[in-house]
Amino acid sequence: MGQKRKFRSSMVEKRKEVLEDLASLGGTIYDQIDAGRFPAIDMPSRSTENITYDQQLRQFILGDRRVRRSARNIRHLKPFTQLVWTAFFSNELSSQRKTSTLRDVYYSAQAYEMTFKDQQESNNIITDLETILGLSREDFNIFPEERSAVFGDLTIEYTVPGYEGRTLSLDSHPDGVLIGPALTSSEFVKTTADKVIAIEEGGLFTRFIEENVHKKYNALLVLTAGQAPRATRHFIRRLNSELKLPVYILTDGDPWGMHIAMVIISGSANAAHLRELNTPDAKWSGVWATDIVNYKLPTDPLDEVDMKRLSELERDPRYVDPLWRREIKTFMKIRRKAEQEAFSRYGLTYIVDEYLPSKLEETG
Amino acid sequence: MAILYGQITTHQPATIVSSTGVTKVYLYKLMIDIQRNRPIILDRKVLINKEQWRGTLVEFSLEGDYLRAMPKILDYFKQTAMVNPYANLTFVDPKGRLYKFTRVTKEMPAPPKETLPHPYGVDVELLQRLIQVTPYKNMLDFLRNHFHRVGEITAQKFLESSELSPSKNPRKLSHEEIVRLMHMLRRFKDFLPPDASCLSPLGDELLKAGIQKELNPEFVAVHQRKPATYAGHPFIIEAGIAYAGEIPRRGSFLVYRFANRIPLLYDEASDVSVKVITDMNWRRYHVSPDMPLAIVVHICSTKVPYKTVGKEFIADRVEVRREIANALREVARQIQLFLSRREHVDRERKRLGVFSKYLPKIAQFSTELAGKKNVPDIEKLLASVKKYGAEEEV
Repeated sequence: MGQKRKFRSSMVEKRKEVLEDLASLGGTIYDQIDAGRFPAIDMPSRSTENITYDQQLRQFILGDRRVRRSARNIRHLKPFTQLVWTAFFSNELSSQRKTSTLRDVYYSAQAYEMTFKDQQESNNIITDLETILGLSREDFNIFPEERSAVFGDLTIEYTVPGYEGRTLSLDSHPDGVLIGPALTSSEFVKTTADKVIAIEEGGLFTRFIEENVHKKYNALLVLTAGQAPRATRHFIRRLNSELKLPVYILTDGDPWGMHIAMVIISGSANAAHLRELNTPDAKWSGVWATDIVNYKLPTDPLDEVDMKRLSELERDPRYVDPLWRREIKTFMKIRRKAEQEAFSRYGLTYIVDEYLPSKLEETG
Repeated sequence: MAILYGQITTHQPATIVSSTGVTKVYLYKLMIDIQRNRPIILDRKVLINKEQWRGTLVEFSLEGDYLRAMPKILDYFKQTAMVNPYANLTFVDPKGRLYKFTRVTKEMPAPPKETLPHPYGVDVELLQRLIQVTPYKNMLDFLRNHFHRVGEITAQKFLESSELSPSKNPRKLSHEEIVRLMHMLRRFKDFLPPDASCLSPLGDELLKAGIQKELNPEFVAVHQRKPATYAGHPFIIEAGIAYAGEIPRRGSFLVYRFANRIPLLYDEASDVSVKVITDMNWRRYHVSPDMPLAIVVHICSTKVPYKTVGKEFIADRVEVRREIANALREVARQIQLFLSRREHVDRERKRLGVFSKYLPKIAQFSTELAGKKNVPDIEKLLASVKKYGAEEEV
């Protein structure tokens, strides 16, 4: 309280924008009905043919192809209604400053005699709404199940009801703080950190906290817990863009870990209709295939699925950078993979004392 | 047959009372001399018909296992009522239960006209019988007067081609000559087919009324074929198809077979109708055996082609089979039309239902979303959907 905000406030503006967008969507539909027309909504097509990789934005984007949902078409009628309901429900959530999960939305619909066949259907409708508004669902207060966390010297100020103005230092709990709705909607107040280290695995995240990595390297630690949820990707982006902190990503040394890093950096095709989820300047610091060779790490063989994934990544437009191409080639050559824990063969602290500093330097 | 069966099981005489509404009523009590196939008249009375009663009454006793036979007996009544919708049937069973089958019409089909045998249908037995009774002294007159569709010219042509003398006395034909005559008659190409005035089919109206009355279906289609012949015997096939209503869903079609308005209850699987039904591609007509569906086949003929002496099922004759198949195809087309029309109406209704379910919700949610006070009027939109649907619904 009373602490002066050091950084640009974005959350309050964002909420206002969301409410305005939802109201304007409602207005468009309202006016069409009022004029005696069947309401229709245009939105960019999300079919694979309409998804292209934009080298400049360094993420996937949707092309010019658009689709029209019309209440005149009986096959569109139900999804159209579901869409309007979802917008209505999001509006309720946002204006009352409540949050909901994807699962919750699916069940809430039943209270309005709206039925979704399954959660997949309701998830799809939510994605439609994202596409129409160009906002991600977290913006209109619908969150997936959370599992990722953050730890380090960053003070945030809550904006959620009941906590407005309260602050929290993210190093106050040694298990880290859950990256949930309250955290993602909070403002950044101050930090002494000068970098962000994103970690794929919970075990290593805990080890880093125990080994005081946040202090030794002046870093904020983010646990992605596997493929980073969108809220976490957006959070990392904010750390990067609002606090100007460089981001380093540590994953397992296999095609899947490599891709976790890539999604944080360049986003996913599934989110081609959204912006500001990626952190183009983030760096993948390891574990590289070449690290497996150089550090002589204990390994497992790459199985067929791994190899198939590698050849997919080889054709992926995000993997153009020489570093990535070199690593893919090396993986294919050595046909081995290693987990982050593999460094423990040199002692528990080796990864923190030796590997990390050298990689931060190499990729910094 | 029934009286005979009564006599051999109970040895009681049968009583028959009859009058055509004139001044007298005749009453006979008789038994059958089984060996000689002749009646033994035990009592005979002529009564004064004061009330001008008209009708025939047959009374006899028989022994049977009613409990076992009951379903078939009831079937027999029900099916008889189906093809005799102008008849009132009353049945009091051995347990004293009353069954009534009430008529729904007073119309009756035209009675059959008496006819001569057609030359294609004769056999040696028939020829011999005719020769014995004929008053005609030459072949030309014999043929002209005893056979259907045989006039003077046809008779002359036939005799010529068969190398028979027109003046030959039919009584002088030898046994071999009679056999030869039969073959020649059957082989001769120029006899006109028999006409069907000797047949008494029900007709579309009555068959429909009968099916409607006994099966009470949601939909019924009937069709009468034009007369056809097999082996010189004219016949007419009538078919009906009835759908839903009180017809049960059994996983197979219910089949009702009739010959000259008499139900055929036994040996269904051997009947040509069932073979035709089994062979038919019902899917073409969007009909499947798991629908509640009854099929009625009625054959009218001067000689019903029974396969066995039990007269329980119709033989598989090409001509008969073809007529049954064509009749069934016609009624199948009608039910297909009915089903597709109904499906269309259902679809339209469903379509309208979808619009009237969702449009109000869209209106409501968008109103709240837009922060407006009044929900926009969707009646116009609904009306436009309805109008579009109504055209097709008729």
